[in-house]
Amino acid sequence: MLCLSVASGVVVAVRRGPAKADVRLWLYSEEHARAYREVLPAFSAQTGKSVGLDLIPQQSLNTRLVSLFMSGRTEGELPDLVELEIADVGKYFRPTVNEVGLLPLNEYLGNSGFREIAGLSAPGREGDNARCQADRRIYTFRSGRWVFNPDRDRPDAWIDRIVPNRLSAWSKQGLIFGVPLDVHPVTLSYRQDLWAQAGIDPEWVDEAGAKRRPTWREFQKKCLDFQWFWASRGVRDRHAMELFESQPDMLVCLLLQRRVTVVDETGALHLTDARTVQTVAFYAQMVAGQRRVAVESAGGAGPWANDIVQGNICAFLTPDWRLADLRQYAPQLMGKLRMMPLPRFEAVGPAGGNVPDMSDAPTSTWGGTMIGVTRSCKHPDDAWKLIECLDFSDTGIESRARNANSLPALRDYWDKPVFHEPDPLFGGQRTFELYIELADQAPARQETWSSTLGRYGLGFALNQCVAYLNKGGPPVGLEDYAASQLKRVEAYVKRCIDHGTFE
Amino acid sequence: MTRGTPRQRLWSLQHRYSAYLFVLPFAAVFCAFFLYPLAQSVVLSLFRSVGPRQSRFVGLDNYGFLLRDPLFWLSVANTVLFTVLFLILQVPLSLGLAMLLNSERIWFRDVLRFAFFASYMVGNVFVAVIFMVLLAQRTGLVNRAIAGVLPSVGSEINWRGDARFAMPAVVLAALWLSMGQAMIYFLAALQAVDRDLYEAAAVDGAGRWARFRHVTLPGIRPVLLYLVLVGTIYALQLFELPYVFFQGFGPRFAGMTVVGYLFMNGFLAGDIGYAAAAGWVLFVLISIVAFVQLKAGGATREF
Repeated sequence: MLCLSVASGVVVAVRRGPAKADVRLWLYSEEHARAYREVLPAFSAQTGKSVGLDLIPQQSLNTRLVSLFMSGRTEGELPDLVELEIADVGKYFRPTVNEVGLLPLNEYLGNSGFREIAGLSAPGREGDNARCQADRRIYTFRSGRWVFNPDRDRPDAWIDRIVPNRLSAWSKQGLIFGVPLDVHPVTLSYRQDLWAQAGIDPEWVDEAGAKRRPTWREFQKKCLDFQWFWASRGVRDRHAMELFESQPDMLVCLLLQRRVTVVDETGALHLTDARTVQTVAFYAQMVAGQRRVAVESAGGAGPWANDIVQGNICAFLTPDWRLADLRQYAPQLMGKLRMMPLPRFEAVGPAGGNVPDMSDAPTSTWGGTMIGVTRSCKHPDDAWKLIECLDFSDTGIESRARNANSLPALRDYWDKPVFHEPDPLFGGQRTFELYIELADQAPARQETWSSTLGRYGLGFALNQCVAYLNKGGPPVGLEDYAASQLKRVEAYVKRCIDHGTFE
Repeated sequence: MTRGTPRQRLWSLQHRYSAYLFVLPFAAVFCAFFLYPLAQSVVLSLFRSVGPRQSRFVGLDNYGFLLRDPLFWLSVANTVLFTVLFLILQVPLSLGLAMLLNSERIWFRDVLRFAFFASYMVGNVFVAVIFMVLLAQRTGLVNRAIAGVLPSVGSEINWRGDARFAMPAVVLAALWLSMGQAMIYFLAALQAVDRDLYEAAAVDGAGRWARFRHVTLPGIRPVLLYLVLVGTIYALQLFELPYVFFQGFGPRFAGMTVVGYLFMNGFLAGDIGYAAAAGWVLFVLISIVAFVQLKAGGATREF
């Protein structure tokens, strides 16, 4: 046994490990890895650099990265680049900006990716600035055409070409630590066939002969009618909508629609804002009590898709990435789905009623990924080239659109044909076009180290409200109850923030 | 008195120090990978730290805050509740199972023993995923079975979303995972009990219960105490199972355990110093419980 252990130890010690890649990237998304593998050969051929992709489960990636950053290791174990999910990034911003383990990318974003147009007939968006290849002058796109702009000395760089709201989550004190890969606008999708059988149109409300989008309360009424229709035909497990009851993700999504960030960049809490209270109370009676119209789906993409196929859930929030799950797990839904913008909430205060709050966005944002360069990266220029190849190139973006159903954060690419194809799952509706229409209105999301605590606090308050309704608490008193719970939670989270703030 | 030859001196030295040399590799590894990190974590728990170069000495502030934190005490309460429920169910059920599978009247005993033990090999994370599917609303086997037997209850029990069902769901999953392992220990212990004692008891007129109480239980007592102790430590260290099952800490933090609290502060909020303090409080908690258990069981002599 001793000989065997010594021999195996020697073998392990002298064995040559796999060839070390020139640039190493850690990522957690299998869809991204699949998309990148299609693009990498071209990068290696062009630059002569080899790239190592390490696909690591999200939780493990974060645990390892936090540990390595904390241990102060500068080389060896740490990758050159890393992809992080939006809900995970806050903790990396806990140190002062010069101690964050990621490299600020403002210089790269501001000094590369300059927009060029072949001629003045090129397409553009209002406010775009580009250098014309024909005369090398700078033009601005105004009122549908390119106009010479003598006041501008440079065209738009990457930083100007990215949807501005998407930079906030990856920034601290003006320094951008990650390049956003997506926008993830949120729509509402529904089982068109089942809603049509019930004779209910979830998308529109007739008001004095004119059609308008419903508010959330009106949508809830439609959901109740829908459930009553099916229950009266003996289908009791048919629920109008999906909303999480045990996790705050969807509630956060609806709060973002209302431009409420639970913990903002300054660390200020918005748990007791009037909009938060109203939204939490409304959400609670969507998932509990007499007016319940939503249930939680079983965990995981497969069971979720199955719930939709079975008709247990007939409407659901859909950020673009969720459609990739549907395509994979529910091809039998072909043609049965439709997509609409999110209903808005009613205005808070005396103007309430059925008046939609126009300051709400008709969309929200759910999820998000950034790619960043670690400070230990020895060749940040190579790392940046890789980012440009993977995430800013035609092939990279098309590959991610196909594999991850992801709308890129770079507006220029929204004109590509892949984002204008009819979607067979949605009966030929051009779903990406709706996402594009909404993407510029997607709210900004901010992340700090205490955002996680804020979200857990929010989830706790929601659970309390759900329990209140389940115990038969009167809906009339729900908003007051929600306000009291949120006040309690806010006091607690504030205490935690005060204790844990370093700066 | 002569000093002896060099060879004799060498033997003398070897005789005197060989024990230390044998222990040295272990001691070195133990110090480098156990004692040093432990000492470092004590130091870390006295600092507010946000990075390798940024920390501030805060003394016992982390401990003070921790002991005043209602969420910490909720996590302690959840952990204690889980521990109690788990032990109350696991020990008798696995003992019963072991006695059943020790009986010669059971067919396919070896197959059944392996089948019951097999669940232990999959680990906490896998069990959590299995139970997510088993206990899913509408589509989960358990809910469908409930709906079949009790149509009025239906298949809508939200095991993951309703705080009332959260802890029972975790206990159920933990039992499924660990009963087989405890059963194997009990089986081994049962087979080691002297058969003559049973025969003697039977001759003395002892019934089944009397034989169990006065022969079996004393015979398996060391294993019983060991399993209670190990089960308690497992329960007090519970984390992955509820964290994966709830994809977080559950409704109203019903799945928040002490280790979960540590994880949330250390790896979700990035407050490593505070998490280290929570780790040390957990260590003290486990030590006290283990000491009390050993004392109460009078087992210090038997281990």
